[in-house]
Amino acid sequence: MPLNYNPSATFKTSIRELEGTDQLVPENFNPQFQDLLNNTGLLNDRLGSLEGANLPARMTTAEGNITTLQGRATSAENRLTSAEGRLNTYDALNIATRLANLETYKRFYSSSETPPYTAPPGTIWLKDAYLLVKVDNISGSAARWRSITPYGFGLAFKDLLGDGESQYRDVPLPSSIAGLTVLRAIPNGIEIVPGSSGASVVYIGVFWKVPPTATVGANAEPTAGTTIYSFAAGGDALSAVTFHNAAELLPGERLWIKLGFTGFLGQGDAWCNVYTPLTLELRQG
Amino acid sequence: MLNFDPNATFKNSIYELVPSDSSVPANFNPQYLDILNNTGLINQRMGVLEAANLVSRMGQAESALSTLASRMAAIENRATAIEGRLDGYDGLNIADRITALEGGSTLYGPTETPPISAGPGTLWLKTQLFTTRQMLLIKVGNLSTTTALWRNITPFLWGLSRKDYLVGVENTYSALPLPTSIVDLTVLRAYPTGVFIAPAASGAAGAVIEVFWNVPADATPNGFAQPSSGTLIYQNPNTDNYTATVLHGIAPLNPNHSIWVKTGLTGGNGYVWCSVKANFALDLRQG
Repeated sequence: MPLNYNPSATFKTSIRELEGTDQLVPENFNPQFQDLLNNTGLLNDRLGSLEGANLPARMTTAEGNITTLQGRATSAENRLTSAEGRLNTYDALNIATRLANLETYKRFYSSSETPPYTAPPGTIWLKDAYLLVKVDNISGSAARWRSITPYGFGLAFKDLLGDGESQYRDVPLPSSIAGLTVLRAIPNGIEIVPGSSGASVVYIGVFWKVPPTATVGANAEPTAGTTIYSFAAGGDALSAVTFHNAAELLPGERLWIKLGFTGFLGQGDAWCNVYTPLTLELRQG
Repeated sequence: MLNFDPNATFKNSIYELVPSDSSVPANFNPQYLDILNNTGLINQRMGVLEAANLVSRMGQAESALSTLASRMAAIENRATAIEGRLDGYDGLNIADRITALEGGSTLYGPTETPPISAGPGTLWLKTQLFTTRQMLLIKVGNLSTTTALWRNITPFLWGLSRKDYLVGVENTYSALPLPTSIVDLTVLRAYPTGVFIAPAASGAAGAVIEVFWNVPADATPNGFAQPSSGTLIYQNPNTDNYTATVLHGIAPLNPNHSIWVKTGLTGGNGYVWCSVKANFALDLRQG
């Protein structure tokens, strides 16, 4: 009958020590053999379990997986960095604000509204009776607008003149129109209608851009300004075509009509009507 | 000397001493050798495991995993941030808004009719039916859910001239009503952007020239050729010279209301005339 390993045994860290009085009989040796046999059997079982777990191979596999994961993590980080860079590019486009601006900055403002200075060029503003289109900003708090609706400007003057009599009338360009400051006004064709009756030697002159400082010179003509029409005793036929390319008019500068008569036949009527639709350049702010 | 035999196999049973066994080494050594071989085999196998350096490798693996965990957490945080930023862009509804900004014509041609929902600032090149008359319009807003307000960009010039040869005490007039429809749209009102009046007379020392504005359709002339209602906007002085500048700030003209020019003479005879014209900003109703 051999001594058999008992799997139910517990590992023993001490075994019986033989003593001098022990007799050399099997009962005094077999228990120690049994204990040592059980210890090695238990160690064998436990080691078998560890070996069965295939730990070295699994560790190698795990290490390989870790290396793969590290590569994938690096790849993911690179892709995130790329995605963040692309998003940064979109962020820099300021899409939300620009979309909101496009939606908010209306193309059209009515009379009851005041466009912000940030309104882009091309914005339309119905200011009182005038349709205006924004040209640009003059400063951070002033914008330049151009009228689409013509601004009527002109003067009619008729007089019954005697011999040697000269008269004039003038009208200045206002400095403010529709509540905005006038920067300048561009004429779009100046209609000049001269006429006379019974005044065979009539003088008619139309002067443009007569400065506020100009005074009345000889024969009712201004001391400064540009002559854009003149009829001087050249017969009894008067004609005038619509005058183009006249210079822009600045606020305070005047349209001036002079009527004169140097005839020897008593008296006569002379008249002249001047009208032009102006394009206005106006300042907001 | 008892030696471990690497070729031995692990033994789960060994010889048990029996009473008949004599107390000689030959009866004890086999058991000692079996147990020695068992421990030797275990030692060998332990060596194999230890040679795998599992503890160190596990430490390194754990460290690498810890680093990976941190990196993954960072990756997740960055991904979350990216998703948040993308959510922000999603919330902007960019595609629809750009489509909306791009969509919808801003200019309607002569063969088109803008919907009432067309936004302010919409342009319309409107043609009058059966004519070649066209007018460029810009939308101002909506008057109701079925009507829209438009303003002309194309200038609308409107006015009249009257000349008469008068004898003695004579008063005459001409009147011109503002149309109720222009380019097939209903005229709501017409804002003059400067009323140009050109009065004149020849040989008529006592000329009386008057211009009336917004004279209703039912107004009638009195004995001086003046309308029974309306606003006087010009009257010549009782002199031989007349001056008229372009009038601004004049009230809008209502449809079917007239510009009325009266020419009169208080004695003698002569010619009297007057021309009145203005560019008008029209309020036109669609629908």
